[in-house]
Amino acid sequence: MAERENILNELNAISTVVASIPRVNVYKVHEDYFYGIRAELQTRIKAANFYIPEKNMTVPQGYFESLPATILQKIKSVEHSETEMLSTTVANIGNKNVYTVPQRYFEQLSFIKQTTKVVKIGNASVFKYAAAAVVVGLLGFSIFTFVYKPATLSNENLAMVKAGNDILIKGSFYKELEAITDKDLENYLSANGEDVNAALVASTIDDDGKLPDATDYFLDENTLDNFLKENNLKN
Amino acid sequence: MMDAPLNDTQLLEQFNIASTKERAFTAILKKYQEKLYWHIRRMVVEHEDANDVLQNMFVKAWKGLENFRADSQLYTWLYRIATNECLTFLEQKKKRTTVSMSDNDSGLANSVKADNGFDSNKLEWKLQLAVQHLPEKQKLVFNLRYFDEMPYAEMSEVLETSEGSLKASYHHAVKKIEDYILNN
Repeated sequence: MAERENILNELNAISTVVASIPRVNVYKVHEDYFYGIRAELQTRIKAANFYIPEKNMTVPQGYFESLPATILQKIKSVEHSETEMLSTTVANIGNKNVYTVPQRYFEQLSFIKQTTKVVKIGNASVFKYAAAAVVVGLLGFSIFTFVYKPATLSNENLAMVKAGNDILIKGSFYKELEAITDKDLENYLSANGEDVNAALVASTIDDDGKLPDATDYFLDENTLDNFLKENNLKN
Repeated sequence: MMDAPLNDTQLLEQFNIASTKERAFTAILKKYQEKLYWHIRRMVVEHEDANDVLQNMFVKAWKGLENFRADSQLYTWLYRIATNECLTFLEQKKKRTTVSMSDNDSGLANSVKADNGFDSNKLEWKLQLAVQHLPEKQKLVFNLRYFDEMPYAEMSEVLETSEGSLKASYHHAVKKIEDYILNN
């Protein structure tokens, strides 16, 4: 109230004309306006709140789930535009796959992978079979000479016959099998047209798998050389 | 029994608590919306414009209240937002209509004349026409002093101007209004 008196006194001092004008509000507003404006404002504020950065940052629901697809789509569009720059004809052809596979091929593929027996090249059995073949070869040659009695035999063949006879007499098949050296195997495999190095590499691999991992070859070009050296297979 | 209305400090405290935030803001709205509406309306004249400005200023107030420091009064702070919104609105309107400032003032005077209740024979309407011919700063000072009865100290906070300068502006404004009334 004191302020009002101050204002009137001040106004009178400046202009009696203005001070004499009735101090009324000439403007009107709908009587429900102030009630409605509150509801309207609250709606607006709630909507505006969406744009207020949160203190704890969040992302829209499902954002990360759809992100890879979004990024891929973007990449594809960039790739397409690159092709378009080079050749609109090629770009317009698109990259649709023209090849087909038998029905349900991919569904069955994993099943096939699981059920098919994979024969490992690097299985120790290769070594065992080769060694067995050497001993059986000796025995076979010995029996052949005993049955057909050839007129002449080289010293080497005589030694082979003797070795075969010893095995037959002593019944020491498994003992001889274990006694076969790498050199004997090399000789046998070479004589039978086998890739000796490949067989020897395979023979060094037991079921635990000592072969380098596939990715090692990408990471280090000397992987194979190192592996062969470690196993004394490098010439 | 009805609860006693909360003072501004209490309202601000409640605004900063998540569970009472909306209720506190509604109370602030109830308390100041009419004063602020009329302050805006006297500046922009037309109701639709006043409504837009009022809503915009309260949205800004909502965003800014969290960081509001009680080194000024809530109501002077709200008046400052409202005033700035008015000036921004008038500036934008001026650009939209691509007319000069004096033409825009005439535009506001025309809006006064276009009001449903306008009566050219009544001094109070003549006063409104005179106010619309004042420069913006003088118009603000006159309205805040004459209609809102705001002390210079508070007006100084709202308009961020010294009290001496405000008194001078008010004096010039009243003299111009007198001149307008006597010559129109």
